[in-house]
Amino acid sequence: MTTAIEADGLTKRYGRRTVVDHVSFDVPAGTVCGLVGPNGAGKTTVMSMLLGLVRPTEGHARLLGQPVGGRRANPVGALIEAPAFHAALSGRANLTQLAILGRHDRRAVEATLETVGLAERADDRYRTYSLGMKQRLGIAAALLADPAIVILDEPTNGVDPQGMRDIRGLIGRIAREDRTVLVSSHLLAELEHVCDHLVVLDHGGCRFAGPIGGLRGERTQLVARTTDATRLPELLDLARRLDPAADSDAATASVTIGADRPDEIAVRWQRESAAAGIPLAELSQRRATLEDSVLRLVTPKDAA
Amino acid sequence: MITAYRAELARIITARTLAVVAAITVLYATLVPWALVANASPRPGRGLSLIELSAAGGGTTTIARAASFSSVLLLAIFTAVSANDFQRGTFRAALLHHPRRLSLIGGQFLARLTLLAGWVLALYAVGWVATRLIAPHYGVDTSAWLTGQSWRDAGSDVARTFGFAAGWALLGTTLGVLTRSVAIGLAVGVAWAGPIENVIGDQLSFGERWFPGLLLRWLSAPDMAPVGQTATLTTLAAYAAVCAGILALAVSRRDVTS
Repeated sequence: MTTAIEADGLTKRYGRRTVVDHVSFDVPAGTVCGLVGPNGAGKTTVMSMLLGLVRPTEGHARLLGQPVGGRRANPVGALIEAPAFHAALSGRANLTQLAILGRHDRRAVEATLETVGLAERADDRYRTYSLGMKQRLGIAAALLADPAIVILDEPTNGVDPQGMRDIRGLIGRIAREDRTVLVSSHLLAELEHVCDHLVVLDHGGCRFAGPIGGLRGERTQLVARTTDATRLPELLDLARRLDPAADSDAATASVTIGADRPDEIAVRWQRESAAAGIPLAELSQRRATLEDSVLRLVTPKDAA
Repeated sequence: MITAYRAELARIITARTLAVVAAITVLYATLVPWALVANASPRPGRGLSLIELSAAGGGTTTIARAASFSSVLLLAIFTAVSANDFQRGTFRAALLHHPRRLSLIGGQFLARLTLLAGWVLALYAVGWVATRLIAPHYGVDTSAWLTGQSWRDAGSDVARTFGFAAGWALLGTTLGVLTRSVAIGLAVGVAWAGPIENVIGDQLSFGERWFPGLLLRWLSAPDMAPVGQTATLTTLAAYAAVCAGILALAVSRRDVTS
């Protein structure tokens, strides 16, 4: 499979502060890749380096084999940081100006307005748009050049649930048009529906890069609930022998562990609990969410 | 650079912008020359005199003087427009469609200069007509205003005023790109062009010779200049080269993060 986006040791330092630290990942062509991580993880800086807006201190990036920042325009459309348009111009006039600037086909203005569902409000001034409409106009601008790669930075930021669903649907449609999409978000549930690749960043470093199935493989969890809440600490101690990352929830008197071989671990956990005299009301398996898997990879804020 | 130029023209030349510019131009080109003619002294002195106004080129002298009062306004507009491009992220958005940074900033600046040139021409056209209507009421003989010498003087005045305006535009753009903040850019620009240049600069022979704003004033109104024309033009050309170099360096080397 062709590599559409290649980041090789991307590093950005501002003085002594390293905001992105030797981040490397590949995104195969035609996939939707989520770039996730907590606020301040370096997602926007990585995207800015991929777009040539920020110069890497070390490392380099290639888009469809072409170095970023070379003489030729990169085959990429993007919405980075936040939509930025001229407030006094209409949505259509803003896109027309960008079409002239990029020597894009002017017919693309109407086509992209249709794609993002803004055709009816295209002649209204940008300043009258809602946040969701501004984000959609930003996506329309990213699609103007009919790019092979689309980079979207937090496209649902500040958007209401209906708007989020619309934008998620839009990302799905863009991906079906045989484009490579790199989309960042801190709302992991939102990405779970659209991504097939994932890059996890934390404190500027890359914690995971690969197919989303690579994370899903580790994501079966066992949840044990005791009828005697006073025995919860003992249940947690037992669980930590099986998975050091075990976590308890006092509200539900339950303990959760991750398990690669859940059936085998469940039998063992049940047996050891019985031997210790800890009454279990329930022992169940569940598939962890993407959020669970990613949170296991990133350092909690208080530990940073 | 041509696409950046065309795109910027498409952005700034709108019915609304033209209406605003036209309204300001008519007011400015009417009121300021009116005030200058009304306050003209009978004999040559510090301000304009009736003798100067009645001479060939008198019709455009008032507008040249009027334009020279627009320095802070021009500096503020160009500082705000260029800083705003960075502050609001529109420069970043433009770069995503036109990644050649120098070509982008160059095209944008030339488009804005084109509008400025149009403004200067409109200022002279409206100002000349207005002054011609006003002047006879204040004892100014306008019979010499239509001679060949008058038109040559008018051409020279227009060129000087455009040079003056373009100089302030370049200073404002440089300031806006360097500060990338409308508030900081305006604060620095207005402080420099107002009190520092006019109060401090006027008191020092050093300031009269070297301060860019004062040199631009001498370009616009050479009869008031304590510095020779060649020295004024050479120093201004050097400042323009320095500003262009700073602009090129700042735009090509700095990260675009907002």
